[in-house]
Amino acid sequence: MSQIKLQSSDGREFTVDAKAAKMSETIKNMLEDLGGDGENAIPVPNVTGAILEKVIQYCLHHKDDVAKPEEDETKAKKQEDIDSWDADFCRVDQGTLFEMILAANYLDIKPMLDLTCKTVANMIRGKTPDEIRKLFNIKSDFSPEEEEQVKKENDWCEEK
Amino acid sequence: MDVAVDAASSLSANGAQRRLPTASMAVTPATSTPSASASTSATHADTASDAAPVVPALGLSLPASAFVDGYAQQQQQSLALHPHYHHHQLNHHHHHHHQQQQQQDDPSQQQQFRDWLLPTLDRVRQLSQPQLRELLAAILGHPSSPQPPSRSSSSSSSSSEQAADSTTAAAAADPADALPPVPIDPATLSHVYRLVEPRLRIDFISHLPEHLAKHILSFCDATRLATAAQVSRTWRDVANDDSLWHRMCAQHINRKCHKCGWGLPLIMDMPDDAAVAHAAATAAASGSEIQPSNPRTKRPRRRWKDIYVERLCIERNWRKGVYTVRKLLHPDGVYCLQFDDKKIVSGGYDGTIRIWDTRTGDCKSVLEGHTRAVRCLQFDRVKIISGSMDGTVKIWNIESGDCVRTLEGHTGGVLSLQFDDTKLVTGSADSTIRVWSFADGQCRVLHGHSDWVNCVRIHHNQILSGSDDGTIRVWDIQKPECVKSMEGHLAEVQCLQMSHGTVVSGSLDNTVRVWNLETGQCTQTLFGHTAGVWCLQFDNLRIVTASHDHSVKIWDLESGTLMYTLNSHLAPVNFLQFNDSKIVTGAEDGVIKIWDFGVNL
Repeated sequence: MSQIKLQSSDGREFTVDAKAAKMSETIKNMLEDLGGDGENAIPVPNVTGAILEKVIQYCLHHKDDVAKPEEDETKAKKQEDIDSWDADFCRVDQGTLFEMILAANYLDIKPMLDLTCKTVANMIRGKTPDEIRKLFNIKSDFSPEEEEQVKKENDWCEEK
Repeated sequence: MDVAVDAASSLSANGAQRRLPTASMAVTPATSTPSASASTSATHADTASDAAPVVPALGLSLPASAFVDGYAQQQQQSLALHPHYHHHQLNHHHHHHHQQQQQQDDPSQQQQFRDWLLPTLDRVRQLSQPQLRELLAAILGHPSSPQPPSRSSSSSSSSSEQAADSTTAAAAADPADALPPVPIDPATLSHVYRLVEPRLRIDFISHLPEHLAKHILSFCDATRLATAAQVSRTWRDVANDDSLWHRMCAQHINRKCHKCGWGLPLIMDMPDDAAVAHAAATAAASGSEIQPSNPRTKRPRRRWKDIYVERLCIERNWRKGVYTVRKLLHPDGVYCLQFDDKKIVSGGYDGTIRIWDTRTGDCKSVLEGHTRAVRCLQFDRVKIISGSMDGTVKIWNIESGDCVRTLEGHTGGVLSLQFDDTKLVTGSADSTIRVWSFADGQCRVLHGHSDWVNCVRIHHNQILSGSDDGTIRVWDIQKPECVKSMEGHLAEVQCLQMSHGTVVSGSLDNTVRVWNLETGQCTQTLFGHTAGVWCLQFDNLRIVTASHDHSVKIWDLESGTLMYTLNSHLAPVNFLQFNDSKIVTGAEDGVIKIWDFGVNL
């Protein structure tokens, strides 16, 4: 079975290379559980067609990646290692990125989850708290006293 | 409308729910409940009778240009809206309502526009993210040139098509699906856009499930985490998360972070958290996870963030050379010393050993017994062992100060010593090394050096020694014989230390050399001192050296670059020891200096 069918929450069907689809642990497990006859589409109830399309795009691009050895937890996580395809892939509006994170989490695609989360982490690089609020449309809910406190607690970070 | 608002509130108002704002929620009213959207636009017609109901799925109507302020009218451009959004409306409303009108000077029209605008703004504020994207796609995602009207009848939109189109602007650009465009002037759109666009931004940290929010922040460095903690209450709580900072500590404490190049001191002599910091470092080294909470700690454990910040401040002081200095005086000159957080023990030319209170600097006791200069000493919890130019080694009760034993055997001064649980190793001016067993009192003699043995170090079953003959030798204790000799220094080797296969040595040729123990090769030579290097120590981050040029130098271990020089001794510096926050140095004029980098915390 080289091709399988996936059905998004909104009823769209996608035919996908099985190897790519199996990048998702969730789908991989489903295939094992269902025995997968290749005829019936596997439902992906938590992911809309538009997002599933992105997920598939990712999996197709990365399906032949060599599995990285389990990363040492204590090893520094690198921020600079997003390649240009991945960077382009993540150049979407925040809502889409948000749903991509949820989809990668639900479908259990670790590298995609890391990539999308890293992308958000990179968005706040070098920004002030105010700039971060603006970037994500957040209203500070600190009381003046809390604001003072939280500033004081973190004033060490401004020095380099 | 009701459905739409529900969807919006489920996302933004209910943070605890933290669920996927599926696009299907936004689309459902448009595709499956045309009556709902029809009634919604009817509501709108009350406040803005001429409004063009454009995005029924959202319960939102965009106005025809009749309502728009005069400045907008001057542009006379029109943008097309995607057909799907008013598909139903075409069936329920008269198309001519969409016609562009030219009544911008009429104040009642402007009033009407305001009457439309305010509720619309309210409405937009209530929209969920997918709905907003739908709306924005409607505004931005389509060419300004009108689509051919003839296409209108050909469109048959299945629910799945609409669902797809509603979430991605790009997917909606297929002209085959196009319906006649609704002309809306750009200024109106810009109003709406300014409203919609910020709402398309998502507070990832607050709206994602907590473990995903943490996952995002786990890719941030400490500075970014500290900045994130200042954004809002939710951000603060996630960014202060103990497990994130535990990881940060594990990455940096007592090791150099690969990413940022920073390592932080371990600080074993801060009693309360030394254990946990050590545990973190150990866990880091072994790659295992440790429990952040230590049940054996009586007091509430400090937050990892506090520990990290404290270490960071001390490390910054190390890097910038920010410290306080205190001075003690051991008359006649200091040859050797050791300290912990309670006491400093120094040995001097006057043949005495002095015990000082580290905190107050008071001399608590003077141990007398050696007849010549004390050249080396080491203490543990119960004893001090000292070696002297008088050729003897003495063992002292550290509490009472009594000399409990004198070891004789060397035929020259005892220049260096080190002991562990089972044995004492001494190096002497008689060119030999002696290994004394605590268990049976037996002593073995190692021959090989041809001149004074200035330093000895125990390393598992090996002993390293440095000599006036210019060599560093490695001895196998079991055999016992010399198994390796490292040559390179051009003069007497005065001091050395070894850790993780790296040997660092200092010599009277004024250099410090770094060696690979395995190969015996010198990998680096550090130049900088202008006189002999008499003492050195290194940890995972830095090398500190003391020299007869009166200076103490601090070097980066990894690069071997000189960080800075401590210059205030007025005499040759014979000895030093440092821990994670202090350097203690002893000089030939008897001055002991305590350089404390744990300031400004």
